[in-house]
Formats: sequence, structure tokens, C-alpha cells
Amino acid sequence: MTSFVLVHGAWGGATLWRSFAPLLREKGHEVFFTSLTGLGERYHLGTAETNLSTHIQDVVELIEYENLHDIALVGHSYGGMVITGVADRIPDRIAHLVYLDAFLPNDGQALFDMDGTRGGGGGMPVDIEEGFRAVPRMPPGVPPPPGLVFRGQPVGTFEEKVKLSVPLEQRAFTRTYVKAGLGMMPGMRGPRTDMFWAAAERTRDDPAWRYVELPASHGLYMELPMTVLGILLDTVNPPPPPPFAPPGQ
Amino acid sequence: MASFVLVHGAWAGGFVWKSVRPLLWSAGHAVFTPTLTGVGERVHLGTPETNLSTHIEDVVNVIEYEDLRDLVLVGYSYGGMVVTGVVDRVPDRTAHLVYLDAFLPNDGQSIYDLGGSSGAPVEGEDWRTRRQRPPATGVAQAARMARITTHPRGCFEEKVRLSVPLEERPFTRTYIKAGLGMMMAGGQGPGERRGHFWEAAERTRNDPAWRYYEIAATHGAPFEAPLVIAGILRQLVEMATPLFTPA
Repeated sequence: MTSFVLVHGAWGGATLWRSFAPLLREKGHEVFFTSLTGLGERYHLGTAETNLSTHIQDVVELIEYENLHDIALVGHSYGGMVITGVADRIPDRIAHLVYLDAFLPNDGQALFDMDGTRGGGGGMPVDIEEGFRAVPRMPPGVPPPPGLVFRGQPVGTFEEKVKLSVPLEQRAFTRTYVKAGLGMMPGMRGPRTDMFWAAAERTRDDPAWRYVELPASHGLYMELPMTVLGILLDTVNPPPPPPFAPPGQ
Repeated sequence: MASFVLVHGAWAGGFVWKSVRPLLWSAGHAVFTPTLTGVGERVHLGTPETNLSTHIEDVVNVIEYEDLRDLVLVGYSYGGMVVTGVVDRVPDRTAHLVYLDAFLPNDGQSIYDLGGSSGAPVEGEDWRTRRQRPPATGVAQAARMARITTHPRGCFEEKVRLSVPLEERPFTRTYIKAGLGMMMAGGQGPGERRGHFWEAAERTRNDPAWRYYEIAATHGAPFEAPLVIAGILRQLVEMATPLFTPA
């Protein structure tokens, strides 16, 4: 049995895992997740001081209070910022680190450094409401992605840079990157330009990473739940070495 | 419940699916893993006349005798040649066509045309090929070799016939690339994306008519990543209504 800790993306909440988590539980694993401060049902707890460190602390506290070890830590989208920070805080509790179409920052990078939002690049521009809540500015007529309610996320979570004392590749846990091959929006096949392709290219060519690509859009764990489940199960429970060689071509 | 027909690769047999089969059975599906004529446990049935058409007939017969419909047809490695021919024969029985690190021929192409390895001829029996592989390096390696049989040459020489391009058929098309390359231990190295399977990967990755997967396994994917493969296959037929419907 493995303890899975799932971290949702920007403007998300714990409710996003409601349909996916039972698939892992059916396989005998335990699953933990929380709404990050200022999001979901903890919206009212967000303040101008809420930042990435707050969200890292949210998850570290969850892990420590539940006293979890040998964790599979999974981050979706913005959740990649959070799990990167968590992995640096409590590396010895983590056995597997999994990014689901997620931000993969280097030491000293904030989300705003990576998605170009402030610079008008490839990311989604935001408006600031109530002085600290960042609300994405969707193109006219485009509805929010499924499951998301675009109430503002504390902008400090996008501004604060992550600190990595040791590069992820030097840690003992396994590293997996799962790329949604079809781009950001459901039902649309985008060019390979969204902000997660840089992470995909980096990890695809690095033997320190397991790279997986799926024919899904950004909400991959909702679109292809059985497939993402299979990837997670294979990550924590790899089969024994094959008893004989496979057929060649 | 769905029916899966899984077609193995060259020099092998239905046994390559040993780790995948129970993962589909336990989900309530019917699974067929025929061994092609002249290889694996049917090695004694091979003749100089055994060719790609024989293997296509092997699989078509399973489908027709078992009267399978709405099936998921999966070809692994050389099995991609076979399923391409099968699906041209029984397109209406196929709901999903899946290539697992497999040859993806166009009409009129053989494995030789695609640059696939033919293996070495067996001395005195030119119609048989033997798999070319690195020298055995121990007991485990020798044990692995025990189940690798010869493979009739005609299967590699005969060109496949496609009366209609795959992309014009109503079934779904999926290509699963083993991202770590050909060799079991270590692969050919990250970033070295050469050979026919990578060409097929690039073709399907860029074509909206295909669903493209890349998995963290070598060409021995059915042995290394059975849970992922079973997850991909189950996804095709289960939870057809996704947790949300893409706009």
C-alpha cells in the first residue's frame, strides 16, 4: 500500500480529486489531498500574505500530521510548484514525485517567471481583485476549464520563487513527468507551445526522469482517469524484471 | 465487457502478454492472445510457405470463429504488420486499433521496406530466420533465449495490402511508443529517436486521427509496464463517458 498525496492546480480545490481518488483507493492505496489556502472551500482563508510558502506548508503539515512515509507526491499544473517545494522540505518521506502537466521550476523560479503572465507571454493574464486575488482573464466566450471556479487565487502564490537546496535529480525518489499531449483546453488540439512543453522536453531526454505523454488536454486525470491510474500504479509498483527478453523487431 | 485480441511480435508467442492478460481479465474482459503459425509454441507448424498472409489468417480466424465484435485489436512490434492486414479484412468488427511500439506499414510495404531487422538465416533452412541479439551474458540471459524461436522469412518479405487507408476507417487509432528505445536494459539512450517505430511515433503524434501515447519503458513494454498498458487499453472501452465531457 502506498500513500498518495495529490495537489491540485491553480484556481482548483480538493473537490477536483473527488472522482479520481476512489480509483486509487479501490487498488488498496490511501489517498490524501487538501484545498490549498485561499482556494476551494478554504477561499475565505486567503490573504495578501498567502504565498507559495503557505501552500507548501499546507501540504507538509498534511503529510506530517498524518505521519505519511514513502509517499507518492503528485502535482497537477500549479501543483507542480507546490510539490517541488514540498520535496525539498521533506525529501526523506517521498518515494515518488509525479508531475501531471505541471510546472517544473528550477531553484529561484516563480510561476510568473515561467508562464510569462506578467510579460504578456504564453500564460493566462490575470486581473487583481481585492488587492491580492488573481483572476484569470479568459478570452471572450471561452468558459473556464471543467471543475474550476475562477475566484481569485492569492497572487503571492504566483510571485514567490521556489527554493531548491538540492536539484530534484539528485534526490533518491523517482521522478515522473506526464504531459498532456493535446494542449490546454479540452476538445482542442493545440500546438506544442503551452507552458508545460518546456518541462516535457527537459524530462523526455533525461534518464533521471520517466516521461509519459497522453492524448489528453490539461485536465488529463479527468479525461483519461484509467490511464493516469495505470501510470501511478506502475510508478509505485513496478513489475519485477522480465524473466526473458522481449521479441525484437 | 469488451474483447481484446493481442498480437505478439517476431520470434515470440502469445506468452509475451502473460503480465497484461490478468489485468484485463480481472476487469471482466475477454482476452485472446493467439500465437502465430511457425513461432512460439506453434514453431513446429512453420513451413517455407508461411508468410504474412498466414499470420493475418491466424488472427482473422480467431476473430471469426469466436465471433468477436467491437473488438480492441492490439499489435506489438511485428504484430503491427499483422493487425494492419487483419483490420483491412475485418474492419467492421474492429472498434479500436492499437499499435504498441509496432510497425505501422502503408499499403504495399513489408518489414524489409520499413528497415526492420530480418534476423539471420538459419543454416540449411533459409526460410527460417533467427533473432540477432547480443551474446548471452549469464544464466538469466540463457533462460530468456529459451523461448525465442525462429520466425519464417516469408512474414518479413510479404507486403501488406491496405484497400483503404487506416485513417479513413471508423475505428479509433492509437499508437503507444516505448520512449526508452529498443534494448531492455538502458535503452538506446534518451534523445536518440531513430528507427521505424520513432517514425511511426512522429507520424501519429502529429495527426489528429491518432491518439498518441509515450510511455516510460523500453521495447519490452509488455513486460515492463503492464499496468500502464492495461490502463490505456481499459480506457478505450471503460468509462466511455469521461468524468467530464470535453467541450
